[in-house]
Amino acid sequence: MADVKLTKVVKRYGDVETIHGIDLDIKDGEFVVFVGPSGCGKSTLLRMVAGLEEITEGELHIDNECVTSVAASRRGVAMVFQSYALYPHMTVRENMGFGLKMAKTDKVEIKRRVDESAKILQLEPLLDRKPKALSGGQRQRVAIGRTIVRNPKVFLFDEPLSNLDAELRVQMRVEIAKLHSQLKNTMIYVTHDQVEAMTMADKIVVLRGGNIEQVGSPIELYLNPVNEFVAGFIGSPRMNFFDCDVIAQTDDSLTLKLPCGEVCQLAADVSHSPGMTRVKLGIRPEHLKEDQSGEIRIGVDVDVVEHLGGSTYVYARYSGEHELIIQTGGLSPVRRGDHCDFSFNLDQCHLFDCNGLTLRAAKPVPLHTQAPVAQALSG
Amino acid sequence: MKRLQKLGAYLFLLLIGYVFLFPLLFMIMSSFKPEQVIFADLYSIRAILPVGDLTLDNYRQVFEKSDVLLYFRNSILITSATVILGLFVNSLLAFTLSRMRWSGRKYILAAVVALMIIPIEAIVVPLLLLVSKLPTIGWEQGGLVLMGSWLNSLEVQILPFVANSFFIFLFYQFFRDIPKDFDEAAELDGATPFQIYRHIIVPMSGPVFATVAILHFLLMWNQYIWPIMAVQGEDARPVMPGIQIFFGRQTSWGEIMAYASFVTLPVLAVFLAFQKKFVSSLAGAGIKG
Amino acid sequence: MNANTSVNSSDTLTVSSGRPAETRRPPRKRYVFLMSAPALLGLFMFMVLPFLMALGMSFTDQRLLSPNATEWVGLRNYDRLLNISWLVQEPVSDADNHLKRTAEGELVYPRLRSVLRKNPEYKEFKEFTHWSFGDKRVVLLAKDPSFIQSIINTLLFVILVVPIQCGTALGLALLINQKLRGIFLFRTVFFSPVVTSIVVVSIVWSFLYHKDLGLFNHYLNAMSFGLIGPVDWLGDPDWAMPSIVLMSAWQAAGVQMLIFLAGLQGISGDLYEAAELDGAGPWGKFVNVTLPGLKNTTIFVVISTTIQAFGLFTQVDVMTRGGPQGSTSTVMYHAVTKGFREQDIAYGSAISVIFFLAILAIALLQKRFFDKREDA
Ligand SMILES: Nc1ncnc2c1ncn2[C@@H]1O[C@H](COP(=O)(O)OP(=O)(O)O)[C@@H](O)[C@H]1O
Ligand SMILES: [Mg+2]
Repeated sequence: MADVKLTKVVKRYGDVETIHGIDLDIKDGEFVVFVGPSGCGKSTLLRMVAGLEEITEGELHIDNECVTSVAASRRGVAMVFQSYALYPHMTVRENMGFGLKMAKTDKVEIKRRVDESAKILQLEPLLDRKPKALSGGQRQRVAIGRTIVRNPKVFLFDEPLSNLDAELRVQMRVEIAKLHSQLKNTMIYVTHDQVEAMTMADKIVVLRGGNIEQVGSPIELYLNPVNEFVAGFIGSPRMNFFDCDVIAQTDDSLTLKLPCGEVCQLAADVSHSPGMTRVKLGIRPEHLKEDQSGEIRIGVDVDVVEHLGGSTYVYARYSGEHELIIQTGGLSPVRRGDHCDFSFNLDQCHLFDCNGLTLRAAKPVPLHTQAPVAQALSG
Repeated sequence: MKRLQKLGAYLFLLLIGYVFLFPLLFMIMSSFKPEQVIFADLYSIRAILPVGDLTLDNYRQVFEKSDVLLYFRNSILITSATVILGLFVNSLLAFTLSRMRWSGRKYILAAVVALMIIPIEAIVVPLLLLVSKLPTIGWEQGGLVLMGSWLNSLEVQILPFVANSFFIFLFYQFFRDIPKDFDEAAELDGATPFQIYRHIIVPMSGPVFATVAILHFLLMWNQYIWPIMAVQGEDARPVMPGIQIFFGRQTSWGEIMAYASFVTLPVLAVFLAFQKKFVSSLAGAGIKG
Repeated sequence: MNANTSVNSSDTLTVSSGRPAETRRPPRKRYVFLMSAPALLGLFMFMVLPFLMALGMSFTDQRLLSPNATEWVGLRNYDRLLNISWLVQEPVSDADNHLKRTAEGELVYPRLRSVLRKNPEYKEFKEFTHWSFGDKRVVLLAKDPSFIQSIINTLLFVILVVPIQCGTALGLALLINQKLRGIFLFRTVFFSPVVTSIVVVSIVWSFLYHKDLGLFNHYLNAMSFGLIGPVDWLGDPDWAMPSIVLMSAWQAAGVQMLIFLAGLQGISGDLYEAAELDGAGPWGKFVNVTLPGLKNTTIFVVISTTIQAFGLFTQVDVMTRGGPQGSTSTVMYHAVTKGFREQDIAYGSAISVIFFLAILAIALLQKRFFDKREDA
């Protein structure tokens, strides 16, 4: 059972603390994605798990064994690097077998295991080539193959797809997902791309500034972001936010004045935060409707329209200055310069207090009307 | 018009090329000519052409009058030993400087850079005193004993020149630009730092090893002042100081040219064989150094 | 997918399970130590230690082989090297207050040696040079006039060789930067003197510089229709150093040529095209694109050539042995002569220390220069 458990893990470079005490439980066989903006410490955290960075404080357990100060090669982890780090002077076979060679494994055994792993990834025809003679996607696959050979307890990936073009990226994403279902090992995957996170993860860990913001399944994060940051980070295009004045407040409801002047009442458990004057309202682009069927109607000025075929993104301004993105159906008649009305339902609004913490998340939509979620996932 | 311009460019290049090649060609051609012929040919193009009665007399004289073969052997031993040891030792230090984190790294690196500006001539005098006081360890009557001084030996010409701050710096610069991911991948693969050096970094660093080998070879083969000071006897004398034998009494230019040609041969051979490498490596070394 | 099962079921490579911490490999520190020690030891033994010894010995009277015990002498060596003084002499006059003159009509001055001997203030001083001011004569004194001479010679060499060598190198680089077939052959040719030992080059050039047989005098004679007589290039104090300069520039220019070439090739072709679109001719492109583009390269080349030039030794040793009349003796030549040939190691060491400090000063100036440029 290759559980991974981080306890109060801290990383300091000299006096600068970049990871501020992280607690995290990863269950055996889980596909966990660390996601967050660039510089938030994803790689650092992953590299501490790998043993490439020292853990300044705290403990790391892999497979219920404390490996905090165990050498990288003895932790039972293998890693796929962003640059692949394939040794250019070795053939694919030698690259894949290097770890076994270092462990003084018998030559016949090395060959057997390399061949096996090559089969899983269909690398057999490439085994005698040098990395230079491989395409980007092939290199990627060799880099993964190299980790499989070592039969690690935990696979680590540090932005492995960011050097590929868009099409290959989607393809490799699927391959890695397949590989996971085939091998069933624990995998930790780092990316700054929330789409990758949403599509691949069993569990997403959202990081910001060296802290965990939220841990949960992709749908949980989509539906119940704990704060404004997660709400904005998960989902594409980004959630729209508006500042609203609080007109009245009871223990379980808020009366707000929207920027356009409309007043509405939302149910929310705000018993713990009395006396608010301003809150932030969040509404996802896919929840804004082109028709007038929603409870709240807003008039916008359209700046840019992007036709993606299957859907349309409308970039607009709402009551003068508020920027807004709307995602509508494939063949929207909206044109640049139009002034038109959109609408939304109040139960699809998120509310955040002045610290960005969620006051209320959107009500889960019944499953058969969840099309926008599926779209967001595949986007 | 274009063609005329090109012709002009070639003519000019040939003229300059003549100026640069003349002394070398003259030396080699003259080594095959009797003394009078050298002087007779000197003022014409014949000076750099292998024409007239060519003879090996000069070489015969050189081999008779001096132990040039011994010097040659010494130079080969000294040069190859120094270059091989140097490649190893210098690249190892550069590896720890560029690819491992350790306290004091920065200071050592700064010291290496600072040492680059000290020319050998500036320290030969105290170095001479130093090595004259260093004993060598040798076998005598079946036991280890300390023997005389280091002077007049091959090792006194080898060991001081193995570690070289400039070469360390060249290695350092090259290694520094290799992505760290390789080391980390190898570390995860269970390689020790030395194995990373041996199996990953060295095979990826062919160009810089070639550069340093070539530069070190040149430096060692052309050693002059140090062997003059540290080696009095014939036994350990290398080729360059050996040329002094031919001055003094009565100068025979033919013999001098023969000796000079003979000892220049290896450098020229290496130069012509690795010409492209040579030129690019020196340019690289210069621009970065 | 039976491959999958066999991979998963087969023996685990990673053996961390159950392995206690104490069987871990030796710590990284030991690797750092073992891998860096050989080179550090070499550098310390043969660079740092000799330099520290030179520093220490420069305050003693150490000799290479001497029965006498070594003693501290304080700054005596430095005093001997650097102490300069001067005195003014009146011409000698006879009883009638008439100035005495030699048969050639020159003024006669008191014998300098007896003057110096009489005055304890001038102990150990020797004449370096003298000038006449009216009737008076100013004598410049130094304790080691040949060292002062060596400094002047070295500076002369540097001042002459740096522009000649760098200029030649730039010219050659421009030549071989042309897109002509077979140009690499010329690059090889221009570079060949560099790989030839400076000892060998010096010997061959000694022959070319020969007064009666040498090529230079032959061409000089031919081109001036016999008007310019044979010059004793290496035997004439006025010509010896310039002769060495010319040969040194010729021998070493190949290195700087390659550096300039790399610089030239580093200038983006777009710049030339832009200049062409702006109507610049070949000269305009050279002045407005090439020269500015080579600025950093030029600074580097000039400084490294300068530092190298200060170390001038081998050519002098082979071609002139410091002569004639000390006109080609350099600081390094003087150091080796004193320290090794005359066995006065302490004195030679003091010269080395002064030399090192001078080089260091130049290097620091260079660094400041570069840092300033980066700020700007
Ligand atoms: N070796 C280091 N020394 C100092 N700071 C570092 C070092 N490596 C990373 N950091 C800092 O740690 C933070 C997290 O970096 P990283 O984990 O690489 O972010 P990312 O989430 O983009 O992978 C960054 O602010 C970075 O500047
Ligand atoms: Mg990263």
